[in-house]
Amino acid sequence: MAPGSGFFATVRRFMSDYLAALSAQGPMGELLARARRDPKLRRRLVESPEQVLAEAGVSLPAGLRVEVVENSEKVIHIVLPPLAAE
Amino acid sequence: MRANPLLRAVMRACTESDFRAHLLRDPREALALEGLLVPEGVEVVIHEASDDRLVVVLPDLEMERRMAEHHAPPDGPVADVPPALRLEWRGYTLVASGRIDTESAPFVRRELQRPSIDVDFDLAGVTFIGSAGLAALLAAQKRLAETENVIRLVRVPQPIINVLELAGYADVFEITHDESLEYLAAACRL
Repeated sequence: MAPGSGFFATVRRFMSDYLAALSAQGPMGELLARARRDPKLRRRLVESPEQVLAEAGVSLPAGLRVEVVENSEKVIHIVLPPLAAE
Repeated sequence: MRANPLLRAVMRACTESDFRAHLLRDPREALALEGLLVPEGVEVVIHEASDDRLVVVLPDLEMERRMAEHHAPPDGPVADVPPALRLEWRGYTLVASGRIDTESAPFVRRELQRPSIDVDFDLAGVTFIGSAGLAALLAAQKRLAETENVIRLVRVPQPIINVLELAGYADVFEITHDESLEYLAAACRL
């Protein structure tokens, strides 16, 4: 499929914004930039997310569970921010 | 104003509880309402950000590898640009600050046409864009469109959006405001 067309191009452009938003938070940005094309780092992130984040200097609130998921051509994950207060 | 349909759906799900419920119940159907057709055989999984759970999504590794073949220019400042404008490459994003005027517009056009894939043009630091700059954007867009790629304008300051709207260009480019990025950042809760 041509990189520019259709659904996957839309997802790619959305992911660009999503990663930019996540990356505004310092060490997380550097970690994600490395994880983009590094399969070993990805595996570690999926298996032990809190540990990998801590090692990268990302500070997390106590008690926060982290789950890392990967998009593929079969599955697309979308995270919804909270519903805005009325 | 054209926005990324997926981003639009996410933002709608943050302001309309009915749409949010629909998206959670049947993502394919709800996304179709925003004009986004999910191909057969592709599953869309919706996660809700919460106070005790952070979900981080990594892009498709295979897609990342394929994109690497569409070389982005090397990272760093662009050297020969007139002093009123600074241009810098960061991955597939061209970051501009200063004035896009008659003198600097040709350099914008040249740089935007370099990659053979989508380019994000970060305008957060742009203080002025005149008719030469608008024409340069349009010309670069036309060239990229030959390979079905687009220029997305990101972090566009309101005064520049006003110029785009007045010039009738607001619907020509996919534009991302800072506010929509804040919505996304709310999903990260760091």
